[in-house]
Amino acid sequence: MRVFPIGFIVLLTASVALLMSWQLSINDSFTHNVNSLFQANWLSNNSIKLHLTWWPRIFTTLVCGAALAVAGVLMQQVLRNPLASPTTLGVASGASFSLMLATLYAPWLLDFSYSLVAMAGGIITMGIVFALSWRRALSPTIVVISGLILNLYFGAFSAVLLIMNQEKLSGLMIWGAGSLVQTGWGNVSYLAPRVFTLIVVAFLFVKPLTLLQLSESGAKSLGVSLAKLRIICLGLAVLLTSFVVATVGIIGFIGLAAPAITRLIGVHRLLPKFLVSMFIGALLLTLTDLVVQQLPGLMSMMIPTGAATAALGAPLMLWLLPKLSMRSQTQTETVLTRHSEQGRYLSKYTIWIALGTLFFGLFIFSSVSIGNHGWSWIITSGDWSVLEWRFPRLIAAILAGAMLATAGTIIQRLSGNPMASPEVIGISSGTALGVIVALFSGLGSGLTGMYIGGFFGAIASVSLIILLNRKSGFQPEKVLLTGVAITALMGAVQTIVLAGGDPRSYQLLAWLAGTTYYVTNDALIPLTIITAISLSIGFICHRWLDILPLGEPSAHSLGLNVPRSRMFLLLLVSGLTVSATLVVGPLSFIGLMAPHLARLLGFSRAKEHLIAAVLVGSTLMLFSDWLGRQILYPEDIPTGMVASIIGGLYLMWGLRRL
Amino acid sequence: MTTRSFSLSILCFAYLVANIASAAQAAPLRVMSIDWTQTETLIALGVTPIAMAQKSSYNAWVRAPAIPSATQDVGLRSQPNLERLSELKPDKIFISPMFSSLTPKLSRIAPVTQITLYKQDNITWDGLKIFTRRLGEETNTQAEAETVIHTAEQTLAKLAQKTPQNEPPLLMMQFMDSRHVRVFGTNSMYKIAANKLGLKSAWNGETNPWGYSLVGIDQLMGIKGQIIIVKPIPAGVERNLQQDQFWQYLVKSSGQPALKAAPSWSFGSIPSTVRFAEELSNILSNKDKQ
Repeated sequence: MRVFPIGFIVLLTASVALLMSWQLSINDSFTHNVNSLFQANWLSNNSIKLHLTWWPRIFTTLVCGAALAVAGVLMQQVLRNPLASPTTLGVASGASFSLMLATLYAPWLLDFSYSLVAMAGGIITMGIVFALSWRRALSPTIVVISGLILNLYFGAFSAVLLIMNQEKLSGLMIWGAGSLVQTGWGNVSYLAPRVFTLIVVAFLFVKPLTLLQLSESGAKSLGVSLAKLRIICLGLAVLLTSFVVATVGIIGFIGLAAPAITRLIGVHRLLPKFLVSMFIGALLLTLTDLVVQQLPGLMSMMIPTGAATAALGAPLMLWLLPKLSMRSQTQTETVLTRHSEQGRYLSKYTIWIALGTLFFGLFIFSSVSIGNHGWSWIITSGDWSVLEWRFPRLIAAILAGAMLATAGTIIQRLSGNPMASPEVIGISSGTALGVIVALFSGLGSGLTGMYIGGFFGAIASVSLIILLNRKSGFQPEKVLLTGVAITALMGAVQTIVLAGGDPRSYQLLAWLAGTTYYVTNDALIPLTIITAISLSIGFICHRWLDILPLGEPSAHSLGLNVPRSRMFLLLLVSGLTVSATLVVGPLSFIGLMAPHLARLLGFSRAKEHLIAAVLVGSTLMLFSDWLGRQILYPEDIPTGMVASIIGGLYLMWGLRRL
Repeated sequence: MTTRSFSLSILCFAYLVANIASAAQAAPLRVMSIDWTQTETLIALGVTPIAMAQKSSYNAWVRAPAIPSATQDVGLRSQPNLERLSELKPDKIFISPMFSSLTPKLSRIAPVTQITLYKQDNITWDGLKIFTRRLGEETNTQAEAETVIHTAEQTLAKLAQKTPQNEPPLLMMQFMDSRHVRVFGTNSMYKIAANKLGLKSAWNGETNPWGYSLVGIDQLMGIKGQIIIVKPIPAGVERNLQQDQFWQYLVKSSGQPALKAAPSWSFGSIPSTVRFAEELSNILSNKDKQ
């Protein structure tokens, strides 16, 4: 099915116009209300409200939507990755993080200029991404991975700050959710000229960008300086995003959805793609905002538009997915393929040493800790009772690390996409969504309620993934996009909940951060059994994991039933993720990092890759859990965050060597 | 060897003496609560909690009553440090339903008592009294609980006499950022404080179980009342408000300059309510001098 571009835009415009005129015809005559755009009647409450809040809001949404869409097109074009969006490069989380730091440690900076702080954060983040990928001439893959790592990094640090200072940061939560409430024309007059200038500049680069679309070598031979072009275009996208993020907050999905829809309705040439995306982005955001304003009572106040676009955009993406024609990923150069020639073998000896280290670590970390009277070692203090609290956590950390590492390895090999991880395919998010529903619907605030909710959420997301991807034979990109949509939905619900400032969100935040705190002794035995079984299945399938990355035709000619094996592996990944997530929260950082680290160590054949990833994952988690309990004693830093903070550093260092 | 057995016997002796001494004066209950509202009330009852959660944040947000120095910090409210808590050997742990998922873990350390305060339709003066008496019963301080309630009622009655009675209803809010406020109404301790002073709350819209509604300031249009801004005001907000046309219009149309009140714990019990009432009465009577 192919929707005609003009028809689609007309439909969008018509719905926006309809809603606008409907809202304008309330309370006063239509013409009076339209007049209030230009001149407020200072005697009429209604006219003032329209002039100072309603009209500026319309214009802000139009400008922001257009800016984000253009930023999205630029990024997707430059990085040649349909998953790239203004949030992918860490700009939004960098801005958010800098605002958080300023709120907590340098409030005078905010008094000076709020936007400038956010923008500085975004630009510095971009600078780091560039620095990390500089030696590879800003290759798309490396840029995306660097962005992703920084995203996780800032995300982890922000979550730590948030858990420690929830009251102080509650205002930032609203900003993070992208509320478009306007109180005057300040934002519009700030944004409009800046966004307009940047978009005009972006149009100047349409031609060289079109060349880039052909192929990298083609563009090079035509004399386009790739690095320069990428820096300029990404820089433009970052500035556009920063302006929007600084003034109205994080509105994520537009930058991803607008270009995707444009591609879907059959626009492939770059210039029309720019224009159409711009319109779609602007109209989509405005439409969402108008609908949000239409919601009754408390709902409209509690649902910020930025979160709503994600919540509405996610089903839209899911509906569009089966219709999305994917070009093959041959263009995408991945880290995976870079190393496959020089596989390193794992000797039995190395494995034993690694296992030994793991057990030695378990011994040390369970016996040494800060206590009421400073540092103590159990052997000398004789206080064995604390093991009751410590041991289940450390064991659970090891098991979760192993499971997530396996899941991550499988999904990364399966998709050939270095950005893939159990979280990216949406299972962790589905689980988290279920837990949120359980917590806030009052169905169960206890542990059992959370577990049941999480389990249903996970099952629902797995079914959705299978349902939507069965026809396409579980094409990796589509599976990933399904995950992106589910994650966006979860993110939206989570932001809405956190922005509402409900004190219960405290508990939720702690769980979402990925902590082993809630693990009990009773959970350990089933967890161990599940880990043992699913890990063995993973190892049995290692031959598939060697064959599948070769591509569908080669795999087929080697006698593999590609769709069936993909579906089986997907189910296995789901099982692994669900069990890990239910017990220790959605700790996806490990699932992403352990396979990366294993590969950076040089293990690229499936079996070695799996073993190394499992060992790396478990050790990393073990150490993280211990460290998280010591750094800010008596406060706990969730295991997942510590893991991603440690792992991220290593990964950044490793990236520079690539 | 001899020194060792000697010191051992001294230890045994000291232990015996300590036991006899404690039996003689019935050692006070070793209690603690994860919840700030409960901690606040416990301290008001004269009970020294052996531990509490997020001490430094309590000092920033609840402030009074001050925490006794003997009270230890056990970390986050959502994840109190179990190792530390078990080392402190409490007799009783209080929690609010918000943290009920911790019950299985905490009850392995000491019996857990769950006491509910903030839920829909529960936050009235009577509700606060019931809550205070309940904590009194749980900690053997029934008499102190009555004193706390009695003193509070006396203080509030005195404040009501001092407070100007011809005031318009109060629009009590706390800024989250320059465009969003928590506006307090039904089921909030701010409203109880205002009512006790003989004043009304101007916000008649819906509120959540914690007594507030998170709204954009555009929703405040057309509400007549004295604007009370509860501090702390986030950084940068005051400067933005001075330039904000809509906010200026809101204040102008309310007919009164906006007043600022010193911070109180928004989800507090009797101590916070009395403290806010004092502040409210104070700023309203000194309004003309501002």
